[in-house]
Amino acid sequence: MSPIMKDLIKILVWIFFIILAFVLQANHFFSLGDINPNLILLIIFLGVILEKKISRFLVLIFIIILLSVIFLPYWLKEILILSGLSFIAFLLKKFLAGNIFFDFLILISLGNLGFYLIINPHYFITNPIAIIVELFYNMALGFLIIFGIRSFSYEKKTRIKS
Amino acid sequence: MTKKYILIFILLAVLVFVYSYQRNIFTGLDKFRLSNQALTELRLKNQGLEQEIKDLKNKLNLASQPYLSARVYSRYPFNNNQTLIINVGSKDGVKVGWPVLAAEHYLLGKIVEVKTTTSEVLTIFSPDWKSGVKIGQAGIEAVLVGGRPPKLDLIPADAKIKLDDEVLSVSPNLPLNLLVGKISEINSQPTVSLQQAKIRTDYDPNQLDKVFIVTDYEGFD
Repeated sequence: MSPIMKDLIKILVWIFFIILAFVLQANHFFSLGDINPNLILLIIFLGVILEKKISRFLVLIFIIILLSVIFLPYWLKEILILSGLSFIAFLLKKFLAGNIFFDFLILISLGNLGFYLIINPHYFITNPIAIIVELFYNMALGFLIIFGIRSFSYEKKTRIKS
Repeated sequence: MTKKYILIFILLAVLVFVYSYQRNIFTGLDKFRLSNQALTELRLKNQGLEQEIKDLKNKLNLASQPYLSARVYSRYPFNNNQTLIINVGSKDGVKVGWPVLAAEHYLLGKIVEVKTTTSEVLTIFSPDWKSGVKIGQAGIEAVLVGGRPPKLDLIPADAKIKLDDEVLSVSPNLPLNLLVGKISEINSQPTVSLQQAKIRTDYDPNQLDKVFIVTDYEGFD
């Protein structure tokens, strides 16, 4: 398979998961009580961790912004903040520990706190418990996602070897 | 001798047959009794639900009112706010500032942004919400601060408020006396000269599927 084709398939897979995250989050699908996990943040930061090429990462960010303009136009500001944070994270990811689990969880925590700090700093005073609960919820989901990806890629590798 | 065995066999077979048949009859009777009971329960439940629907319809009675009904299209996807997106917009004549109700007389919020086919509703559950309200029969004034749940602030310390007191809107940019909710918790600290309270609404904002926009209102926004 040509590298362009490979890139295209990867981008299509990303589009599928981004749309899924948008739909699930906008419909509060995984919400526990009043806490809705930030699936869009999870998918963007997963991109930071998994993508090696900056060009492909920028395409990912572009798709997220485009989808937001189409599906969530009222919340474009929030999506732009998440995109900006993820871009900074992508540039600084070489300073991370190098462990995929650890790095992803660190990024989720920083991204989550950074997001509310920019969008509504007052929220830290009015509802700190909600921020902490959401943070743990996001981290738990992030852990499951990265664990799933690791298991899938390990299985794929062993299948290829055998 | 063989005949004797055959007779005993037939007798045993008849006994087994009668026994099992009898058992079936009793089990059948039990089942019938249970299904009859379930049917009665269902019928009662159905009557209850029919009555509930009738009550709700009477409560709503929005058909003849100057309301525009809209479906909730989406809710704010993050936790720091509680806004709704509804499926009516400038094409339907919706304007910024129009009050939005959860049911007749139940204040939910107001329109803050309008696009061609959708609009954004700022709700009383949003931290950005602030409006004037009065409590109970005495009409004690307070400030409604949005949140989950919405809170009442700046209630005078000597004001006599009690649980389940109705909270009504008196904000100049909203129709007068719309029901916000009922008091569910009172926090009065002796050291502070003001009281605070929490509000309970009769509906769950997360379960809202349909809302009503007051179309003939000109506020002072």
